[in-house]
Amino acid sequence: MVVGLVSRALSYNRLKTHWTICVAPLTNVLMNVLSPFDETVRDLALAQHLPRIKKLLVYACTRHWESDTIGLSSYHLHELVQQLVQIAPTYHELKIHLNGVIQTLNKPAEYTLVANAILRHFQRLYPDAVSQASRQHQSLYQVVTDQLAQNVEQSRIKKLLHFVCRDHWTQDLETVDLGELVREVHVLTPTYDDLTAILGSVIHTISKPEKYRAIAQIITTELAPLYQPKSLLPDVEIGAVAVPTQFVTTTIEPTSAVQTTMAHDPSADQIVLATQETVTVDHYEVTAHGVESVVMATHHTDITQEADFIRHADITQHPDITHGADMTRDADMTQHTEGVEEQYSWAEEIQASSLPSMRQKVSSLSMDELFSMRVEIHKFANPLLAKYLLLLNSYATAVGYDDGDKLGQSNSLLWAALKDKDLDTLLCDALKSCTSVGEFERSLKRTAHQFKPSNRYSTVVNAIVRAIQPIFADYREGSSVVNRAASSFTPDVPTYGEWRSMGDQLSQPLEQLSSDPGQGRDPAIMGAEVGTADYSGNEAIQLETTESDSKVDDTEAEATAQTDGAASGSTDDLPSSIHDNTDQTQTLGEDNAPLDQRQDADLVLAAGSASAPNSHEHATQTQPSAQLSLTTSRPAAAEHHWVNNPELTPSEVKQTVDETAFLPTL
Amino acid sequence: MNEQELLQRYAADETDFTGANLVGVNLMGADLIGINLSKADLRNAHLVLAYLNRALLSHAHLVAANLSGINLSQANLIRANLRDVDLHGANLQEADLRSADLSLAHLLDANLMGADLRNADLGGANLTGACLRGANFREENNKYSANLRGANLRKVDLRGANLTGADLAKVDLRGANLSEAMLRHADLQEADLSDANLRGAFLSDANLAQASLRHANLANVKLERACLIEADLATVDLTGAILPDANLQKANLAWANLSGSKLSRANLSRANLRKVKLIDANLTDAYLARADLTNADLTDASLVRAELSSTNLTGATLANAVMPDGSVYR
Repeated sequence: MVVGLVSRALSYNRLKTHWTICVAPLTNVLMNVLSPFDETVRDLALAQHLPRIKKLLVYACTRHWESDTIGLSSYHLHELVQQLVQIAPTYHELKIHLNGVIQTLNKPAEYTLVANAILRHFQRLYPDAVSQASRQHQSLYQVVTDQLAQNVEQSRIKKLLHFVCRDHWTQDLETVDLGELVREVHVLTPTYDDLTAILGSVIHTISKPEKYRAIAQIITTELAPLYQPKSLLPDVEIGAVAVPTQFVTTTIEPTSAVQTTMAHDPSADQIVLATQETVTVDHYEVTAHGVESVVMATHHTDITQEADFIRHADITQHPDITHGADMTRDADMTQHTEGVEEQYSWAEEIQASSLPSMRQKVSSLSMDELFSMRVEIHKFANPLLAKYLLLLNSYATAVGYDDGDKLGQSNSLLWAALKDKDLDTLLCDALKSCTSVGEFERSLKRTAHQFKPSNRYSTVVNAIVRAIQPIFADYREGSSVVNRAASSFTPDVPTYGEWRSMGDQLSQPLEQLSSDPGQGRDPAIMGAEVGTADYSGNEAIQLETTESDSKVDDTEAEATAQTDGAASGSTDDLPSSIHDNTDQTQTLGEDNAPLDQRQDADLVLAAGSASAPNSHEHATQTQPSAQLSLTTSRPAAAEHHWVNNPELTPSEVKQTVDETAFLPTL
Repeated sequence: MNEQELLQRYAADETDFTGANLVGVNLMGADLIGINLSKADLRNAHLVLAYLNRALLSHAHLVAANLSGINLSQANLIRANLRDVDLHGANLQEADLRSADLSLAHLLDANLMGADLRNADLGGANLTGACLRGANFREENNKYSANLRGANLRKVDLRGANLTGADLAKVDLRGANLSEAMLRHADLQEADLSDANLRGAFLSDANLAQASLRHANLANVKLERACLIEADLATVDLTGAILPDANLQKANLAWANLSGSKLSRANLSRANLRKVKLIDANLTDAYLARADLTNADLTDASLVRAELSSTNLTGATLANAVMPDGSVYR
């Protein structure tokens, strides 16, 4: 009866007003008894763009694009909602699912808005939806909102955010809560890339794209702090973090003077957020585990220019609140932080958090993460070039070293190695030898610089780095920054991947490697075609990183070269010998493609600090004792082991490099 | 025609090379975007890293050609003969490969996202690590189906791909991503799906007889009327799976988790269900003749009208289960 009345009210337009008035109390009654599921269905049924919502729901559930109105009407909303909830049991999965679905459409911008509407309506069906917005972010919302509210373009910012979140333009800006929009847009866009992509796509659909592009820029800049990895966020909820005791009553009051300034582009490796806040601490107690600190740098700290980088205390032993000069405290503060003034960037927090090492992270990657990285590389790079770059980044010497071999044989080895390892494996191998994304990127760039045209490979580098960033967001830079501050002297030590790739300074780009039509073919075919090649088609080529997988974390970096006449010695020589190696690398680089100066400077800083002699643990991390073995069934070279040898003198190392130069110069 | 002549003519804005004889040409890295090479003879050609985006290659002969790293995105390869070609790391995104012969082709780490592979022959092809998200293998009229018999699909990414009716018998799909893939009526007989991700996949009416699904992720998978005779599903997580009318005769489901699954009218005769978790599962009208449910957990399960007369329930937990006669087990 009641339902019948409601439907009549919705059906008869002429009597709409009258019926609505009559039925309003009844609908209120209904609303009170509706389940969250029914409420969701009802809200969707009344949504502004119901046909589009339904199309996307049908597509998300069945992978079938139903554009026919009659066909669309055969789908019932409650069934679609039920099915989608089954497909995506958590809110996070729902977001990922919808985002994935949208990417396959030819109008992603329009349907991003539709997806946002769906997500908003579905929130009540997911208990985890509310917790999506981390408590860590709550205080940042206010900071960001205040920043946006002070902007002269506040009204347009509101309009654009409102459009993104609610899918329609509004003129009634007074009723729009900017803070609510900030929170909503942050929930709707899990990553910074999502935010920029959605804003970018929305702008294309509106009538004043130029004007709103600037507005979008303001929004992305101001919202960037929300997209820092959790470990990098200043945990302003000190009470929740410093110690879980009842003594802690800490409040932070962002003042009007709060300024959030991006010192770098958000997409850069290091992002420094300088904030100025007034903190009132009644009483607090410090726990001994981890580093739970609030970073309130009062100056813009540029990681690349940190001559005055100050680090007073070992923060793992004194996990006190670190504060800026303007920080006000109550007299109750009993801890020994009084008088301590520290300024350092969020990057330091990486050390503070108990993150697993990159190697551990790579080993524990889920299938979904591996597939996600691979698909991103496929989207933006040639898969073969990506594999080639990653292979030479990790295995240049191992693949190429074969003195006396003819060109065809060497190439065949390389091709066989490329075919032997899939993209996932090569990517993981390359990642394992680095301690941060920045280090990984520099390592790839150095390898890419050796090829021509280098811009072709720089595209590949960008695609690879871009692909790994969402998964390795917590490893942007971190330890290298910390170590740089912690050590007074650090030799310039390249990463393991970089050191290994020294041997391929004389290698050549893939085009030249396979310039002979036969070279790119299967080794078996090659052997037959070349004729002179002493190469068996049955060769089983295996590249292994045995040591790096097991022994690296708790052993001294071990590196020995088992080439003919290779020397051996103590590992104490590691830093200096590699230091010399770095010089040599630079010299070789000049012969080929000039290296980017700034990049080099970064490399020296990061690499030098990453393997400080007095930081045993980090030294082992950056110099993993990966043992590469290239095993073939060829009688002449049954097994070659190429292992890092820290004991080689610079001249010996150079000799080794020369010996392993398996390919002609460019 | 040799490669020099082709490149010169293409540089002079000529794009139509229909039926050209280009056997064994070396066009490595050449930019030939949009070229028309329909019916061209490109056997043993060397097109490594060449750009043939949107090229027309329908009915072209490319047998044993080396196409590693080639860009064939949105190219037309309808009925092209690509037998034994090397497409290692090639980009075939959204390429039209309908009825193409890709048998024994080498497609390691190739990008086939959104490619149309209806009626394509991929028998014996190596697709290890290839990305096939959104690819279409869908059969039409029960006869126009893709052939993947004997293909190597290890670690292949087929998320959301349409494989309706595809022939995947005896295929190696270990570690493959088949989440949300459409596999209705697909023939997966004796396929190896160990460690595969089939989360939310549609496997209604699929034939999975004797398939190995060890350590596969089958959460929320739809298996209505699927044939799972003698399938190996030991230790598999089938929480919430939809299996009404499924045929699980002699299937190995030992230690599997079927909590909350829907198994109404399922045939579980002679199935190994030792230590299986069937908490809150729906087994209404299920056929469990001589099924081994030793130490199984059937708490809160519904066994209404289920055939249990010859079922081994030694050590099984039946707390609050609704028994065949409608009574609640205490």
